[in-house]
Amino acid sequence: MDWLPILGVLIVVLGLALGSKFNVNPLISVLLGGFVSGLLGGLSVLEILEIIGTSFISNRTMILFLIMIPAIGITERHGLMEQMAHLISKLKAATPGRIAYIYQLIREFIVAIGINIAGQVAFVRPIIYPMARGSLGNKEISEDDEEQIKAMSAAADNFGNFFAQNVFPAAAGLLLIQGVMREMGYELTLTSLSRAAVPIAIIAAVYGFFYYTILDRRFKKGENK
Amino acid sequence: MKNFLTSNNTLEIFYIIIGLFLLYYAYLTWKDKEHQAKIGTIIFWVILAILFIFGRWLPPSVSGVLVVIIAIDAGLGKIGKGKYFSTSKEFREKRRKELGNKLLIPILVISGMAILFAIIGWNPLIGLGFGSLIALVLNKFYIPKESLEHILDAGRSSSDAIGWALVLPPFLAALGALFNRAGVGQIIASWIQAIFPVENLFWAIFAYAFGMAIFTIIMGNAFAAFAVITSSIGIPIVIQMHGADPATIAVLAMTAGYCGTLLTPMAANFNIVPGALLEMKNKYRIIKIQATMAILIWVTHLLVMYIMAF
Repeated sequence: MDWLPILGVLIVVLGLALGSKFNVNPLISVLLGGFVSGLLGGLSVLEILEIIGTSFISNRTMILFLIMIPAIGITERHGLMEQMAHLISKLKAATPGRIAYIYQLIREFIVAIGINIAGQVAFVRPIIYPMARGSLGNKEISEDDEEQIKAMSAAADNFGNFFAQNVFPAAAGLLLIQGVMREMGYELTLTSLSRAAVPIAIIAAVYGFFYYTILDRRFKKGENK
Repeated sequence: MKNFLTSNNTLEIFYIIIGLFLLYYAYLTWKDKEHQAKIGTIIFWVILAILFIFGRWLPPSVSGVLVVIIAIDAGLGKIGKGKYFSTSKEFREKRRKELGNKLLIPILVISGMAILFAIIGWNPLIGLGFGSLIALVLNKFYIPKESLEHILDAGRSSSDAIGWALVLPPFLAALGALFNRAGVGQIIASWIQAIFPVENLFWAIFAYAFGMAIFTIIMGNAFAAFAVITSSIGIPIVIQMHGADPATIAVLAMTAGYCGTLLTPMAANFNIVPGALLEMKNKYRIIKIQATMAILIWVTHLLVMYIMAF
């Protein structure tokens, strides 16, 4: 019965997939799945709690962005979003898709030179989404279009970040690859690894152009200029 | 000094400051007469504050119990939103005209410090922390009438809006560690080897890229997938049996895994938290919009692996 710990994975996957239907929060599915996997994998309850505790504490960096929220939040109450929309409304050629795509390219560039920032928090929420929304002017748009613009802005950050990050020779991903491969007897240089990451970064940039051009079409309907 | 600006230990200062913010959020929640879920929300902020302030010194089992408590608290919907000092659309429009680009100062200071630190070779997260503190002080110059209480209330409002999604990323990291210790990776790898006819080059490449993506979708983390799938499929089958170039195939396997990251709610900090930050109605809309691009790039990986690694 070596495969028993997989039941925990099943719980997590089912919980996430059916959770919104039956109103089960992802935190509960994850908690349950983790405990089931751990217990079936031969860990004691105390060991499981220790693993959860240690791992949560060392991953507080993931929510370090809490420190910037008050300073940004107060400017939002004084019109940060309105100012962003005002600035972008001056650009006649701007559309939600073009803004998102240009941001993807900028994000690819900065991550490729090794600058890793929480783009979703630092750029997408305060800058990119308001710019993308502002590009449609002050006209009313449907809630579905609103959601679409938000999703397009957030996706641009992920596309840019993921597919260009390993171009930087000291990227965390490359250090991990180097370490794992060394353990298994392959000595690889970071330069050779970073070179291998270039084609996908370029492909993502090219695909992004077409992708966002297609996504943009829905916003052109009904426009008379 | 250099050590101070590069070491992750320095982040403890910011964790303590965050903890103090969170305690103040708890206090504001307690004073909030119209709060939907007062007690649960206070428990949430206080325990999270304890984990931030004392996390480094707490025994792991105690932290573990505290994490489980807030997960249950938030997971059962015991946390909620309150009433904040909000501003009207007219007020924001008026202030926008008065302040103009000064409104961009905090965000530019915070991002700017993070980038500056990265360029110099210091820890960019420390730059982000200092930038945030400078931005807080600078607020005093152009919005002098706002008290610290108002500023922190703005923080509480945004943090309440994120809600349970806030603790999901570190919680998932903990799940990954548990799966790893329970041996889940080895089981999945052995299944993939049994399913695909890997003596054929195409299926070998397919199994490696597929294994990376599927394992990343389940774990929410391509880094965790890499060690397991590379040791079970990448090295014995793709490199040793078929003679792929190790550096090229390994890097491409990693980004094939990232395609999986775009598809999974398990990668909460990329796919779920941004939706919460943007106050989206549908939590899965970002994944939906990423799906086509992720699949196209994944398929392209098969081709690039075949051309470049052999």
